[in-house]
Amino acid sequence: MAEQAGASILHGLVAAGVVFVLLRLWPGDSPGLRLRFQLLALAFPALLTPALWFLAPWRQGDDFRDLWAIFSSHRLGQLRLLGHGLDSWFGVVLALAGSALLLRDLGPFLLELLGKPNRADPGGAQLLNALPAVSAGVEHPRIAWVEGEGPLLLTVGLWRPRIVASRALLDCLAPEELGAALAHEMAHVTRRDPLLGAGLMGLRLLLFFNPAVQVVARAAVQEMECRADDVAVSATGSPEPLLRGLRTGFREGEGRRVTARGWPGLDGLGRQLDRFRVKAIEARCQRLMGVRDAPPQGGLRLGLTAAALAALLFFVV
Amino acid sequence: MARAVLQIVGVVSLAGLVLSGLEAVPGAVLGLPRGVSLAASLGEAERRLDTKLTPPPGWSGSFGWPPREIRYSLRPVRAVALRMEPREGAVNLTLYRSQGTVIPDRLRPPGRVFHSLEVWVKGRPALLTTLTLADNQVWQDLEWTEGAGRTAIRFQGPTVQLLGLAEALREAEP
Repeated sequence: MAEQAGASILHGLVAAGVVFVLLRLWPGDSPGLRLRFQLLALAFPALLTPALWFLAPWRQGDDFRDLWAIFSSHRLGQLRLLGHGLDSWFGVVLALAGSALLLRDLGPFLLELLGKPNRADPGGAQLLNALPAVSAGVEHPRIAWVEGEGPLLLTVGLWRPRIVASRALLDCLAPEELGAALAHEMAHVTRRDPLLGAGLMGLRLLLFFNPAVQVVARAAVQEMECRADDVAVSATGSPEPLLRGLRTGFREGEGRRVTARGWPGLDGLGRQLDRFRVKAIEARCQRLMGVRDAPPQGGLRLGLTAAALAALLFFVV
Repeated sequence: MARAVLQIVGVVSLAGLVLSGLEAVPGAVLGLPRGVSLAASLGEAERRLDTKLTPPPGWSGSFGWPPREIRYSLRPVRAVALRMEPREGAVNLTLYRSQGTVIPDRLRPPGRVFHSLEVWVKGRPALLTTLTLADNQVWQDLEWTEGAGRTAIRFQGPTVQLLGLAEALREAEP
């Protein structure tokens, strides 16, 4: 079992590294395509690695390791520290890192999943009036209304997504900002992003030991946000309202967020989690401000990357 | 598009190169050429070589068991190098056993040969070679064929003692 986990970590790191470098080379790609590249990076440790164990068991044999493998973790195990091979040490350290990365996001995810109201509120109709014209013809989502919160706007619900909003949102956002923010949430609803997000969290739980899976799945969630941002920008015709809305909403919500409320004995961790959120918001704002040309043939590039990575990882044991 | 293809090929090739480089690190640190592995235990070596490794008969006065270091290679033939643990007064010795007719050079590094001559060990022909290795030390190799396999001893002590160790070993061989 430890050997399978080690292979999953190794393949995950290689796939994530290759995809990360390629996405850096193609910064203009749409968030949707970037998301697909990240899902590809996740597919290798989640699907290809176990498939290779069953379909090509001879890859684990000495002959393959000795003659054909580009990299064999067994070789690393020949360097020993305190009676254990370096491959074991790396495996343990990386598994701990993976678990820590999962725990970092699991708490807020569960609080967000479980802690929101489940009732539709007729007052939500006020918000629907602010929806930009682009959503005309799209079935309006259910809106749940929360009181006593700071500015809050998010999409929840796996099978029938709904928008959760707070009244404080109306007070702090200008109408066009509110329209952009709602268009963003509508994009999550129409693309069923909460379901994909839950799937990603499920994968993270399954491969809790794999730090590459934790990092890439987190980046994929950020890409979903960027994808929804692009829909909102198309709907409003300009990135400015969304940018202002993001910044205002975040500033006004400071100190009220789940992670900043102060968990008993975990204040430091809460502050650290908020710093991650700040960075994520800043990255989204920066992306909205700079538009770059995308290279053509995204699907073909994705396919070629998948083939090249599969060929490489076949020889990594 | 051609540029994107080149980028994909380049990045994946670079990843392969990095992995190859990483794989070479343990070999460089431990002085192991590619294809030669260091076994962490007798059990691991036996499992990899699919053979039982027993203490050389008649050597218990000079060398301890298990060996100080076990190296093995699986290609072109399965072979093992047992660097013995010298007891007080004994000198360095490595015992090589190959399941083929040769002992791979990467397992037994070749040196500059002074001379070699045929000798007899318990009525069977063997080759005695004197050579210097990369460490500039003088060593003696004594090797012979036994059935389908080949055995060699690389030793730094006197020739008489080397022949005696070989005879003790040969007495136990079928």
